[in-house]
Amino acid sequence: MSTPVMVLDTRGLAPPEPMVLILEALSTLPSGTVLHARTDRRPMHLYPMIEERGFRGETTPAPDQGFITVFLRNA
Amino acid sequence: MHEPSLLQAVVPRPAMNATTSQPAGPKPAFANAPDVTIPLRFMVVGVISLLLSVIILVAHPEVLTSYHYNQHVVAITHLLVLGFGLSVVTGAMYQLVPVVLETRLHSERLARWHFPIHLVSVAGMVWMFWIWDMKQVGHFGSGLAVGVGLFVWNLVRTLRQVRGWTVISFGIASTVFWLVAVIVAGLAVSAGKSTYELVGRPDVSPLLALPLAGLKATADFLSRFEPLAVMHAHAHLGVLGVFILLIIGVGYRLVPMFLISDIQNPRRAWASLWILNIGLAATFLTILLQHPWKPVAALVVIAGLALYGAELFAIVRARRRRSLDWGLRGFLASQALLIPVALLGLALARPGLVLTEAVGQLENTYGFLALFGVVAFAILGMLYKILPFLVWFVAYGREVGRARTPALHEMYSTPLQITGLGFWVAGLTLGVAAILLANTTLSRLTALLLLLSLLLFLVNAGRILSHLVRPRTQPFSRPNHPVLSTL
Repeated sequence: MSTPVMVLDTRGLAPPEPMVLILEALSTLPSGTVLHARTDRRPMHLYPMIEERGFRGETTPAPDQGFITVFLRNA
Repeated sequence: MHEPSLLQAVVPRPAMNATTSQPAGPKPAFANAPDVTIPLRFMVVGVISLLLSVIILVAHPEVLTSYHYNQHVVAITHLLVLGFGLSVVTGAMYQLVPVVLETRLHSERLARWHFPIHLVSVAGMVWMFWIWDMKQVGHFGSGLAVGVGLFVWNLVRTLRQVRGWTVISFGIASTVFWLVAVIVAGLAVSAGKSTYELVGRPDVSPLLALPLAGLKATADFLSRFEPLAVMHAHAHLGVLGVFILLIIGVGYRLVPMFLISDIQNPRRAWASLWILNIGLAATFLTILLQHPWKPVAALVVIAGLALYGAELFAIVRARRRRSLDWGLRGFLASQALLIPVALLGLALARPGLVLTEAVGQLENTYGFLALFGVVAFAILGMLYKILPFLVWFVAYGREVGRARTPALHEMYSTPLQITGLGFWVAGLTLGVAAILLANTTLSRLTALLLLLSLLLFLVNAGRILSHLVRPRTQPFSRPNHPVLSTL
């Protein structure tokens, strides 16, 4: 069975809205679900903040424009 | 490619593991955060100085309409450029330079020491200009130079951590260079207007005699130049070299960041800064020497500004965030005012131009539009972007995702912001009319409009800052991520 994925598209939003939406989404993310966030910029500043909240993230450039970050709950 | 955000001004980017895109080690979000009160205290002093400048203009409307080579105009100009412009720019650079250069400020401690030195020196300088005691201007100016020295040392050490130059770091480095140049030039002007009764007296200590002899030599050297030309050359170093170059350099980062866009033609952006630097050096020399090539130097500056304008237009056109908020509209309007300022500069650069009443009025218009129209307007526009963000992050950074936090635009009143910007534009328009008609009544009305605009800005700034003492978070009452979908 594949891992449930939730997708959040924050492209076109000015800072700090992408960060707010991503952290709010993580706060209600069901256990076992991963979050795919689309952003215009690589969200480097989010890493220490999500780590505090028990998550980790990995960012790759999107094929079209911007970046996709996969957020996973730490085991 | 990684683009830093304003957020990193508060939470610097952690060290990264080269292979996994993960932070190198666990680090609390605020572990490396610079103290946000450092930029805020400079910015508060800056806004108070701007307010004082305009209040003095209300009380002395003749400052706009009389020729600018007098003590009161010089005092207000320095209150505006040092008290307002340099303070805000210094605060913003302490916060933003580590961001745009993707590194950390070399020393927060030096920045803390810089503030009281800057405050006392600027206040002293402005007061001494007002009563025209040039010797004391020199003494307070030396204090300012010490503060700027700390600032420059801090920035240079920060710049040394940068691997590879970008158009933004080049813009900042250029600004630092011209800042040193304008301070040196200003101190030399002050030395040139002082008297040296003690030089040559046998009862003077050698420790004092040597610097006095140096100052007198500087004064003797400067006496070869026409005093008005020296002042104009000094003013161009400051306004164009420090403020406009910094606005352009940092704007190349902030405008794309706020509009979700990118620099469209890096070669054009680089060229704009190189040409402006060359044009400014040529402008300084040709003004100082009253050289017939002044228009050529002005044309070089205009070429640099034209490239900047073309790049800025392309950045705005390529934006992925369609709406333009009023802070950015104000900033862009201020940059459009570079066009009349540049044309006036070119007209006033004509060789052999005789100083008549009309020429004096054009010179005042040129200075008024450059300072209040381009520099102050751009800074006010950008403050509406930067100030809410800094305060928001300090007040709510830890609460994000745990409670509903206010959006940036909810921290102040947009109608007040629009009205304030409207008053500012009306004040600029009326100010030009007041200067050209030499009408002190219009000049006072101008100052009142600018004052009204600033008071509205202060109301909004107060609303923004109030979030520091009274944060307004709310519990989530509904799904808090409306664009969330599932696969």
